[in-house]
Amino acid sequence: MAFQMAMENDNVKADAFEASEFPDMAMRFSVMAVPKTVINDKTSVEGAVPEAAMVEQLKQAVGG
Amino acid sequence: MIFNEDQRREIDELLSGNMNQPVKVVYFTQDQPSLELPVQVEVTPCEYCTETEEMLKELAGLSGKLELEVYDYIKDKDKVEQYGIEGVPALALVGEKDYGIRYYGIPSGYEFSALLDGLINVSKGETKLTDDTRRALAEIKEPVHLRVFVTPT
Repeated sequence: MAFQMAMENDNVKADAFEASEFPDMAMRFSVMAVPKTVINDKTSVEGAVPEAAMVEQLKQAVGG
Repeated sequence: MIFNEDQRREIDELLSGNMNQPVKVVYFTQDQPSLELPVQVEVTPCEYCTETEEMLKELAGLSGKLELEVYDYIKDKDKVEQYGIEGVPALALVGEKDYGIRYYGIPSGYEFSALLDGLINVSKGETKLTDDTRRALAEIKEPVHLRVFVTPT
């Protein structure tokens, strides 16, 4: 879903990390379970959430 | 060989039936550390780089619409910077434009399906998101960087 969001808006970029191959990155963002989506390195969403909920989180993260 | 005969046929059918425009897969790898390196150069070995490259080469060979570019994370600094790459193995999916899509790690198991989906979406230049989601996304004017942590199983 994150990839599709990046396609829809040029302001959005999306990285997927295979958590076990990037333990430093996973540790930096306190990844305990997957999927976990970190937004702008500050807020995060745990688990697979519906599109609408994810967009809402994005908007909150940018103060919209 | 990463893919068996059945898998190759399935991938071929899926991609040829769904891809529209060509997609460039920009892959970043890293030479394995050799004894010739000066000792002060700290290079973390890339456990899955070789296998990921092999997989992508096979995949690219299955579709005339997939172009694979390979760069080295240490040596090709300009490309690393251009694509904003943070580690290896890494791949960028680039279609009509660079949408800012990166995958870090070996895309195996479930993540391989996600990669194929991504290739198809990028190739078509369209997503399967709902109209409501698209409208809501269009309202975002500030930069958003998503990092999604996944596992292949």
